[in-house]
Amino acid sequence: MSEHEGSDFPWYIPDQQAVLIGWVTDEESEMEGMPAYYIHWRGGLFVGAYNEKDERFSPRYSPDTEGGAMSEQVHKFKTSAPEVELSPVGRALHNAWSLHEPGMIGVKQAHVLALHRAGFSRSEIAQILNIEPSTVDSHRYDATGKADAAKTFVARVKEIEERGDTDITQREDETAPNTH
Amino acid sequence: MYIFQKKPSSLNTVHGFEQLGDNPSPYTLRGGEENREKAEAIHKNRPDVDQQEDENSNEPITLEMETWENNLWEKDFPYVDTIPHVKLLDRATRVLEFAERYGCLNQSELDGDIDENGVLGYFDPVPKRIVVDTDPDDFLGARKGPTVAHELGHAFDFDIGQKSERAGYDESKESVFDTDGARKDAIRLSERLRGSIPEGEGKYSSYRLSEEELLADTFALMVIEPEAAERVGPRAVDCLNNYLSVVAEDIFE
Repeated sequence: MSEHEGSDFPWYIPDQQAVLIGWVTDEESEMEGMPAYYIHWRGGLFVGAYNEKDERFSPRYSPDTEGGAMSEQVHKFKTSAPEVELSPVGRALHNAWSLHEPGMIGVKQAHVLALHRAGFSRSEIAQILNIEPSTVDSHRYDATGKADAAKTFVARVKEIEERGDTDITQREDETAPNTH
Repeated sequence: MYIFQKKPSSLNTVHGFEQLGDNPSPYTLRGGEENREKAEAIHKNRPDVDQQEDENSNEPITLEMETWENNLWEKDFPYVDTIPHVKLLDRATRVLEFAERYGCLNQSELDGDIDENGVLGYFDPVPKRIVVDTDPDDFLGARKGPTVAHELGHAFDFDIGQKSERAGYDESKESVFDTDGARKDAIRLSERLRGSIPEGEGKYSSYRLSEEELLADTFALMVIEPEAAERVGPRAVDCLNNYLSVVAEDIFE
């Protein structure tokens, strides 16, 4: 994850609890070239200046609507003017919001699931979300359970469609009740 | 993060003073040599006890000599009968020592080196450290006392608000300034300390309007000039007293 694809900004600034979400690419904006970091203790995403010498991020702008889940703020950053590019963490969290937003999965589970699918390790996910690694495991377990249940559900619906109005509970397989 | 922005467009000259923004305050004025010397001469002719008592609190500012002379106890002339910087720094230092004892601050570098234009101080939550880099010739609001007091506001906010536990999902985030009036007061206090809040862009506003910055500016004024803070922003002061109730008596005089 130390590779940060197209930017010279560090993906994480430990002393500030700041995670790189993306940067502004819009040439019309006075924020062009500025990175956006999510600062955990402030509970928000900020656009500002990165100082290489001090290795520090200085916030300059904040979205008008504060608060909300980390992925929700990333979603707003991505979909509001000006144009921005997301970092790998930003892209994963943006995906997390699209998993959570329709109500299919809890937001914390969505964060962990999306970051895991994007290739981040357990300890990296813990750092990005500012939670304990054991909490990562717990959310991932819950999320995986829901994902598996969803796959089973889709498979069963497909089976019903393929078999017409046949009662699929009557089949003899490992999931159906034993009728003998 | 304490940023003091001094764009040429926000600097005016009023009665010989250089003024940052539209609203004069003890923190947003500097210079004023000729008028200031006259006022200092008048102030020094007052009994010592009156001088000290008047310098102990900040009353509303006037830059007009005659108005000030006729209302010495009700009006202040900048840098003459306002609270001097040495006293502001004393008040901030007292709270800094309490912050260290209380455990919300581990390190402080009050003569630090910050390589970012306009950034005078910051608080890092992980090592619980404040770093300050100020210029003694700058506006009073940009000097060490107010900057330290602002960063201490972040340190107490972080500790009392248990903000390390937000963990990327602050569903429980409640505003400290929970009414429009309290928020307006907090903005007024922030502008008193650091001048006008810069414009934002589109759906983004200046970071100074974020809850944490308004809180730290309100905190700073409650530490360095408690009576004026109460007069200028009473609803914000109430909210912060409630928020920091477990330590308020130890912090605020």
